[in-house]
Amino acid sequence: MTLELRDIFVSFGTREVLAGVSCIFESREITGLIGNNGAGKTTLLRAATTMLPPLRGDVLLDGQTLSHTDVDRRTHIGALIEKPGHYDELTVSENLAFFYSFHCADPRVCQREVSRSLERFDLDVVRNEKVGQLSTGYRQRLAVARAFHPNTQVVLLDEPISGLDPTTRSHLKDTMRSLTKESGVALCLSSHGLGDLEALCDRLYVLAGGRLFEFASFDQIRSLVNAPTSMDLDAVYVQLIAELTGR
Amino acid sequence: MSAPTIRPIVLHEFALLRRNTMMWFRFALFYFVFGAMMVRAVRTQDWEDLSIILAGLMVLAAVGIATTLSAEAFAQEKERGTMEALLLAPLSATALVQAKLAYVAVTAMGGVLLCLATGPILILLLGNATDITRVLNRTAMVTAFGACPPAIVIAGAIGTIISCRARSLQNASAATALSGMLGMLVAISVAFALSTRPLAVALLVVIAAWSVAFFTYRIARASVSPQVMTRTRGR
Repeated sequence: MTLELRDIFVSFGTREVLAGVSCIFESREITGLIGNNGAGKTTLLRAATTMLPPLRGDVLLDGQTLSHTDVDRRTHIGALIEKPGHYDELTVSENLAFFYSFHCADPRVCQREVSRSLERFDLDVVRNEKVGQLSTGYRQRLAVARAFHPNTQVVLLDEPISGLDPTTRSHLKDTMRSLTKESGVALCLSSHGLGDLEALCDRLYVLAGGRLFEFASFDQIRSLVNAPTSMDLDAVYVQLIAELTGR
Repeated sequence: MSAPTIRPIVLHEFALLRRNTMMWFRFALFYFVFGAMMVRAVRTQDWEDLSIILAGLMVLAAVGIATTLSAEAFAQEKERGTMEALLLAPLSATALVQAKLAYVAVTAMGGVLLCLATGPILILLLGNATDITRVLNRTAMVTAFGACPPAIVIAGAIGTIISCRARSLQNASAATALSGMLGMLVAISVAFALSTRPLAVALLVVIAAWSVAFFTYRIARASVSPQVMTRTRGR
């Protein structure tokens, strides 16, 4: 399944956040979305989920316009936007089962999907613990597991690995990579650094000054800013943003 | 895929309520304290008809539970950060409002029936009375089945509207408490008017109350949209 944003314009008051942005998220592909804080990454993802209707432009799922009222087709989108919230008084498996129950009518199928997901995201050990007692890492993993629901074909994750320790980050990256390749979903990850997305993305979008720039690889970025391979990715990122915004 | 129903949300709300011991404690405390105060207040009046106390208790339970739960319905989701996840679920805004209101209505009506079952005993014991017909008569029945259901829908819908637009749970609770008090006064006067009027007038009043309930529900339904929710995200 393919999710496409075509010529999207979004403004908050007089500030134009997205100025004619177009991008595509394709099946079995991991797409990175980077930009500074406030660049409009979350806004773009909100528009992609149809939660935020743009001033102009279209969101297309498999070539057909998608709106928030199109409940049957919207079911194929899984997302984690901004700080994820959970029902702290419920257990990990209850939280997941609640959100999965919208996607599977049969409770036994739902329970099977929950168990599979808990295993995949390494949440099995805490499945009966209340979410309020969990660490940030587990909460984040649960939020990502929620986005990968049984019907999902397109997954949009807003900074899913920021604030995690290297072990959890590495495990989460591996899980997301294998899920994308095996189940054929289209995955988009946003981040405010290149480091998080290195060796993970098939394609990269950089959001700067309300406009979106596409890169096929990290090498293309390095060559644009004339950065040697030894150069730190943070430094490459700073140069890249300066180059794209003309500062 | 079969169309998702409101069932998961209703069951989920009850699962959350079951674990919310503070809420149960609040309801029980209000019920007994308010009930005892009402009985104490009218004990000196030597009233023949004590059913107005029971009617008051039922209206208190109906409007109190409906406003409390509906105020929390969406405001708490926003504070938890689960509102966006709910809006992303394959459910229409109508289904979302219906699910929350169904949970509110069932719980509030449960409270009304509990009052109907236990209230007469409380009133008879505290009021030093023995004749049950002084408590359980037409006024009580009309309140339970005529005035409380539309009052629950109106209170629930108003709570939902406030809950959707409030920036915090405290704001939502304060605003719905005020509207709840107003609603309680209206429901008590409707119940009192119904119990003394002929059937035709009573029917007209009930139809009018349901019409108001329908329109407030429509406004509540329109309030649950990603646009409103993203404008008033929780802290």
